[in-house]
Amino acid sequence: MKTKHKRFSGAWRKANQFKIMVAALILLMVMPFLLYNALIHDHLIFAWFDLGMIGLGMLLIILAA
Amino acid sequence: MHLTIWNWLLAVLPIAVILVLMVSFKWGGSKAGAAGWFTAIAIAVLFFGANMKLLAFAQIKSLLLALDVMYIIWMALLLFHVADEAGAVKVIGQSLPRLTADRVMQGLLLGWVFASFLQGMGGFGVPVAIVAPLLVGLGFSPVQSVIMASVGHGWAVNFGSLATSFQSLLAVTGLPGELLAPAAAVLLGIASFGCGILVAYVGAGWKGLWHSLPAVFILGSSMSVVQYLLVTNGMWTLGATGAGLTGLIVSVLITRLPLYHGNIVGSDGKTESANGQPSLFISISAYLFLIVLTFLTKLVPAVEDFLGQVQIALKFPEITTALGWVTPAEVGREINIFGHPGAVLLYTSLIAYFVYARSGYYKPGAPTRILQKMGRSAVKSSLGILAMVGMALMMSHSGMTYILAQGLSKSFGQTLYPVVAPFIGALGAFITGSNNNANVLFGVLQMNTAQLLGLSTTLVLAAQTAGGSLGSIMAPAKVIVGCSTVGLNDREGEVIGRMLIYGVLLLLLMAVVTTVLVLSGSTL
Repeated sequence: MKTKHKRFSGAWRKANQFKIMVAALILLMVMPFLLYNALIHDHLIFAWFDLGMIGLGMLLIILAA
Repeated sequence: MHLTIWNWLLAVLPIAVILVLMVSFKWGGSKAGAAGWFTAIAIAVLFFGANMKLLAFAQIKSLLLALDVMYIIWMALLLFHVADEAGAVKVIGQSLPRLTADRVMQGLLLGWVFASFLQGMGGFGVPVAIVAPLLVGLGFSPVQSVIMASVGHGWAVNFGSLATSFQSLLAVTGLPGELLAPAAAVLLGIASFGCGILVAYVGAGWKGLWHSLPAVFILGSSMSVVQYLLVTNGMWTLGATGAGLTGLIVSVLITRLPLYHGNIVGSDGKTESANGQPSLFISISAYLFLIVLTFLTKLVPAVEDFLGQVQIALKFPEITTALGWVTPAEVGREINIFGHPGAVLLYTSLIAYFVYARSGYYKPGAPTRILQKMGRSAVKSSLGILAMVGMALMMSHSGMTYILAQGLSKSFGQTLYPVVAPFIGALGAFITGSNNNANVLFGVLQMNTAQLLGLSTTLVLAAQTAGGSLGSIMAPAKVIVGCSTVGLNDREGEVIGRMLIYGVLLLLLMAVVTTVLVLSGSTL
């Protein structure tokens, strides 16, 4: 039973791992451009949000990669 | 910003975190890079006076730098899978034994000479991405293959990629190329012998190393002399390409020698195998297109100008930390959409796909399989590069990198500085993944230190760029690329652990040569 559970969870993790990595990649490639736009227009709240999203992208790498 | 042992130790912490996680805990490059990124941010904010704008602009600049590299990686993977799906890579691997059955020579030919040639033409991780899978096809283990391809082209990085790293050094120091080229060519020429010897050792052990020595001597001499002649005559953009091309021609001649011809099995002279695989000529046509297109886009001004009309470029303001470290206003890395080496790889991939498809070498569903394989390999390596470059830019913008280099240089006086100089260049390349960035980061620092210590500026700068050249092969960002192409994802730590040993050996060689030249009062 334990082995079956392990096998299932391993497969689940593998299936979702790639999706999470793609999500991290999108965050890390898109948010910096939004961040640049927010900074040059002095929208600091948006800038903080965008920076937070980049941090989330990095966190997703640690969790999934 | 003053140097203290406390802030030096803090500055080294992000790099130490990455090294420990990758080497001791066997973490993958992307995961360790992200951990290093968080460490760098925490230290930059808490101890180096970084503010929100610094963090933000450093991150945006790092994306541009990463995109510059990722463009090439994605397209190199595309080219590889276009060729692989058609069976071309297998055919090239099977064809080498027809040239020589000598395993050491096969390793040298691909891992040293062909990788150096590719570095001259493309660079930015292309040699490892292309050569490592070919070596696996020849029967070398994936770890061996990545190390051989990485170490083999280390000496060619500075004058490779049409000498972009060398041009950066000239730009930041303001010194003429005629002054710096001879010393750099001498150091890197000597390094080429070290690279060849290490490739032979990694591929076939001590026995293979002794067996390969005559070949290493002949090939190393021909490549380093050609590189020296080209760069000292003002053609530094062709330094590594010309040397690599000479190496390929000399390799073919060497394989005719009885010592390296070996017992060739299955050499029937046929150009097409019976089971419908591509002929050798069609198989290598993808790489021939790459050579032709690279020459066209780099050496024909009309083509270069036409393709260089669309660029992504962002302007950045001056940024100052609370401790007074200033990063001047600048335009970030400009990405030339249609003239970029990545674009050249894309054009090559499209032409190669057309040729292979017309010849009937693809099975149904090939485009989907090619894109899926490319995506699977590229996503993880892209994440690693984004994290590593993000950390490196955070460190340089908060003054941590400067503190690191200052600490290293101040710890050593006039006598020991020539020993340290290549290691500083290597440190920059290791953390940024690029000889180019290392020269930008440390070029002026090395020049100023050499002037203060009364050392030869040209020799110290040559040691900087040679160190950067050799240090870049150990950079996690590059190792990730190599590992991703041979299915070694999550085993980057193991590869880096071994790469560090070989890289440090090459750097020690550079340190000894630089010291001897400085002590002998050489005016190179």
